[in-house]
Amino acid sequence: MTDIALIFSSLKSRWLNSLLSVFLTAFGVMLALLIIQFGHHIQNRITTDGKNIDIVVGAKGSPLQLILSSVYHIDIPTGNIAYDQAQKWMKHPHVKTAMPLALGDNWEGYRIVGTTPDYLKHYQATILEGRVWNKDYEAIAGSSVGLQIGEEFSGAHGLIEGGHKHDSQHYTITGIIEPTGTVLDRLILTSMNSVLDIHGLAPASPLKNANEAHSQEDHNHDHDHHEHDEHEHHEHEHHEHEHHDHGHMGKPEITALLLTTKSPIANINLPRSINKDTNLQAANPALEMARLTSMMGLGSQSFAALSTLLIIIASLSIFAGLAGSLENRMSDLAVLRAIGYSKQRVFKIIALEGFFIVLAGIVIGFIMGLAGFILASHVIAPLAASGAQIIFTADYVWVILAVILAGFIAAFIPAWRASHIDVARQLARKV
Amino acid sequence: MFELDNITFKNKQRTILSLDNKRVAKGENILLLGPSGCGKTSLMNIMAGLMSPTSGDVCFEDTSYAFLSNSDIDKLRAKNFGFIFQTMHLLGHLNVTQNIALAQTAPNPQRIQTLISELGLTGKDKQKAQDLSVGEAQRVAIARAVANNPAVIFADEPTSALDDANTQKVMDLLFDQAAKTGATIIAATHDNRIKKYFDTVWEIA
Repeated sequence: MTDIALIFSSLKSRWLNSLLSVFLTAFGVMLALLIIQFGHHIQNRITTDGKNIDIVVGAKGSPLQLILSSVYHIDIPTGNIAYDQAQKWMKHPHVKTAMPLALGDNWEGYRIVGTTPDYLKHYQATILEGRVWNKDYEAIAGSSVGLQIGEEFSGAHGLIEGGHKHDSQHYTITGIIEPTGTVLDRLILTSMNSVLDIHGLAPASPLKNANEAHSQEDHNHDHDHHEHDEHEHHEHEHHEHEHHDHGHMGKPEITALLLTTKSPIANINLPRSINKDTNLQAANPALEMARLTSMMGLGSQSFAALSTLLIIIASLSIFAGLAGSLENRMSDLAVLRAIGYSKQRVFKIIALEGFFIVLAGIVIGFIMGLAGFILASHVIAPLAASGAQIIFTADYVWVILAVILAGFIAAFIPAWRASHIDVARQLARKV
Repeated sequence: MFELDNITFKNKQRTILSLDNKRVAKGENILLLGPSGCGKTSLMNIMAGLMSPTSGDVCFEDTSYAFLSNSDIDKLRAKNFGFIFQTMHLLGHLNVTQNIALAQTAPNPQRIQTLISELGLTGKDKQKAQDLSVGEAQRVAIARAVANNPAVIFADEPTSALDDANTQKVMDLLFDQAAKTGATIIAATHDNRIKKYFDTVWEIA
């Protein structure tokens, strides 16, 4: 009879205990994998979505909120800024590229972003089907949005699903963006003027290419266009933009300005100067996201601690299972020793019992972890929208090695005891 | 086959066993007879290499145990000795075939089937040991003891819990199997009923 058959028979004879140990190990592994997956997903999104954006200019408020709303499109904006004021920074000599963003509406939760084609170029996005907009109320959709070419839709007010619909104006989809794995996949892009017009703001000509924008008088138009006030603002403007009476329209405003600079020193000097000399706010995405990651780190560390705790509990369970059953198996092991099984062989048999429990726990934990992540990426809306995908990394290997090591430590003492039993004494026992 | 050289065994300063020089010839079936606690099981364990004597030495086939490592004694035991324990000590979660196979250093399914048939266990081969009757378990224990064709079969109190009829059955089966393989039987017991089966009786006081 092979040792493997003997081990499985032994584990099977204590199936409830074995199963408990396997599932405790599996839960520990699952939790560790989910932490790794979510961590990588978040890091990946932070890196790809914020790539090469050096400065974000917007209304005063929380710098992190400004970054999250304008770069990652996962928060509400801090407010609006006057377009003519923004233009001063767009043509600043230290600025390489500038991308104005006008937010305010959504379609079924997907944000409608008024911008310029430079925004597409920044993410090196190409059009999968159709073409980029070339007139107002034409739009292109990200690959996750689900709109088709030629499809017409109305934007709803606000940045989350369920706002008042702008039924007076319809957008028409003219193109679908190729999947980029970036925030573009879940956005609807259109011209700046479309968004300004629908909110009763005068077009700020020329807006087709922000980098060619004319200098305008620096005018602080204190028009609080914050998300919470947007609806009210919209109601006030409603009559106005329905008639397209540009003579009574408000001055053009944008939500934020994404800048790339010509030198790293400008990344420090420009925000300082904007924050000091104007009523605008400039934030550095790299700094803000580092701050956010550090805050999130506390959360993920808590989960990592929980995962470690589960693995330790699993190890203790393996130890308790093996050590507890050892007392009842002493005579069995003595028989094996008597009929010629060496100490090393008995040690190996008991240690392998622990190993197989750990192995089963790892396999089941992996399946549960990956299935859990796939399920979560379909069920949890933000994960689904951000295209969460499984990524295999070296961290997985570390988890496996850590669990195997924990299992080995748990099995070592029972295995050592089993291999050093007093054979004659055990055989003399009547039970 | 065996040479025992002035074996003594002490437990916590108390002398359990003290034996003059003894020899066992090949094929000479030996009965270690004596009351409980006289040291007969200790002597058998010392001869089987399961215990070390406090003083003296054991030689098997001209090999002194004193010069063998633990690992070498394990190998010697696996190759040459078979065991029948007082309480059988079958592994309850294994079936009959698996329990017999445990003792084989090289797998020999044909030999196992022959033993199952000869010992009247046909149809029981897949039955778990924990579900066997005492009589069946006794026969499986004999099968396990002879499964590897050992040179020596050690039997500790093989009939102590059996009535006369079953004692005779067990001894007949044991000696029958030993005869087929040419094994020498060394048994330890306080049961006088089985003296007649053995060539030599060592009375242990």
